[in-house]
Amino acid sequence: MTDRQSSPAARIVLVLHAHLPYVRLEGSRLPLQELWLHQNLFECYLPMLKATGEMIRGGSRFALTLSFSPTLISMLDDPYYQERFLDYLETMLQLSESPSLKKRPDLRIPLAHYREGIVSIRDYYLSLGGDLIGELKKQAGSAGVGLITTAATHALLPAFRFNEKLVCLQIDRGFDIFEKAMGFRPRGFWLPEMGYYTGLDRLLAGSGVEYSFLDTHGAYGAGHPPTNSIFAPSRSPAGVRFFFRDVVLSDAIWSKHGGYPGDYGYREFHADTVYTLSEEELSAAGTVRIPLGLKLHRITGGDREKEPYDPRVGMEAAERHAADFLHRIIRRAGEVSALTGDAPVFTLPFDMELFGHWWHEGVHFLVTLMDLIARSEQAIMVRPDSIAEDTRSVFSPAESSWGRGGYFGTWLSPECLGYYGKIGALHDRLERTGSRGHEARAALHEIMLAQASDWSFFMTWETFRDYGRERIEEHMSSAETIITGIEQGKSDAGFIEERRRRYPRFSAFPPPCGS
Amino acid sequence: MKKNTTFLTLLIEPTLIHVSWSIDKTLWGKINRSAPPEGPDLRLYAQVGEGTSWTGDGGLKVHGQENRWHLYPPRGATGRKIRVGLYYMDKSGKQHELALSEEMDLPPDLEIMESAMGSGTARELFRLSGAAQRGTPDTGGNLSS
Repeated sequence: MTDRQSSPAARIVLVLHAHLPYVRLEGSRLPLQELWLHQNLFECYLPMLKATGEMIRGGSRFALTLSFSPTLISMLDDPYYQERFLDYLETMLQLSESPSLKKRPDLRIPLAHYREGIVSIRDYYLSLGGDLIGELKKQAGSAGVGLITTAATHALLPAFRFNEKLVCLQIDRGFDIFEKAMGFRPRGFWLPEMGYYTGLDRLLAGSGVEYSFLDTHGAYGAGHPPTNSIFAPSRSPAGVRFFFRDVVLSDAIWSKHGGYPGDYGYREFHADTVYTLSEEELSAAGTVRIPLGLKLHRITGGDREKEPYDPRVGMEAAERHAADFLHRIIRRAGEVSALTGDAPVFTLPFDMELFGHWWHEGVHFLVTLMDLIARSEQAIMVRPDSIAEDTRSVFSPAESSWGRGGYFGTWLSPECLGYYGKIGALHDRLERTGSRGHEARAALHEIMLAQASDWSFFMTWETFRDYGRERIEEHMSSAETIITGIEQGKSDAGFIEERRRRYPRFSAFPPPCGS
Repeated sequence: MKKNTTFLTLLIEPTLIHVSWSIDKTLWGKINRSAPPEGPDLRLYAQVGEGTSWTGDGGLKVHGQENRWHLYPPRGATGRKIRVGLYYMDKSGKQHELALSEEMDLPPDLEIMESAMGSGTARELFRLSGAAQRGTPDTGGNLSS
């Protein structure tokens, strides 16, 4: 989308990054780790795509940049998940009709809201034939939606800086998987966890990345800062254009203390009514007591018992917050343009899952915000590739990440640190075999799956710590088995086939570097 | 980098560098025979340097065929391009490199940077940017768990 006729005060680059680790636990019904995808499909991805689809059809003026990670694309494209997602929705619908809930008049409104949500999303999903990738491709053909890619398995790239090939593997396979699924090669690249290290721009440029995103302090930490600070994109020495997260505006949403999603009228993420149901009710739906996500209460606040959720109050709060956010944007634009004489570019990247999944009303907030911007004379949404180049602005990007502290600490627990070097050592061993056949490809897929930043995040924050450790070790051990087979000239075809069956969609993608 | 040796350096704070290494076992055995042990283990030195200029103190004493450490870069290194080296010393006292990191930019002290900007537009923009907040909001990584 291009600039409007009159000069707006602010140009807004809104980037939503969608990512989930590659999980596939065939053999069990609704395992915990697969719920991540089901819940985000139900609460975030599908509502967001439904909303943007309606906006496109209605001729709305908006511009959104979406990053769908290759692991997520692989799962969305997998019939295995398509069937299971419908099973999840039916299960939740059944649980919401449990006898004990019907006896609760105080839950009548939130239950109706919950069921309406399921039916609406199920109908939408069925109308797409379960083909989210097809819908994404369709929307990407409009002016409103731009798609970019990220690293193949979402590796924290600075953690592999000691081995350029491992970094390139992630970047290049990220492009390949995206291109195979979407049918075109994107111009932008999302750095997992916004992780940047000195010299990475050279590898990005070498892989054809035209633009990417850095956290705010990434603009300043390496000496030569951008001409217009973080308020316009700037080019790195290797020629990659970087957009800088506006930490001040983002804080209105992200801040733990006072961020919009903490409003007491919003739906509570952590209160899952599944835990109040009887064993009989759970059994009738064919499930057990796990956090399936039947959410019927509002945040409430204080130490009081959680009160039933009122969707009208929640949606009104989202509208109020959207108006407040635009007001902040315009006020900030005035402050910046008084200094630069130009309409600032405010880059606002978020984890997409925040909207709808973690913050139930988040999609409504975004849709309202986009509508308010479309009607405002003082702000406009733009896509990164539509912003004119200022060739004067060259800067030195600095080592940085998002997350606590801004320097990788979120993914660096002592336990997971040791794995990075071991993954590098496995790759070195594979390189020395000189093999380029399907066995080497299978080993590389295992190495890439071990590189995912999710496992170290789980271990650092002790959320699913055991699962994070198990997944890294599973992939490293499998890579080692395959590499040993190559070294000894005795590859175990059965083992390789079993691994391919276990993670089929991911391993079906194109061959790795050098093969 | 020596074969089968990995060496990772990452900033974890503006003035704190994480270093972890794993030295090839054959090489480790060889240098253990050629170098004087100090205590139960061969003594290694992790050193922060700029270009070919290294701190004169011989670096921080570390140990282990496989280990991790945190290093504070020397005063005055902020805002500069540095490398980290891992060394051992042979019986004659000569230093031998085991691993050398890629170049990394140490963030400048943002307060000093701000004051060096004077009172002009650049300083005002820096102030508005929020870069000096350092501790960015807790944005997590993967939210979906």
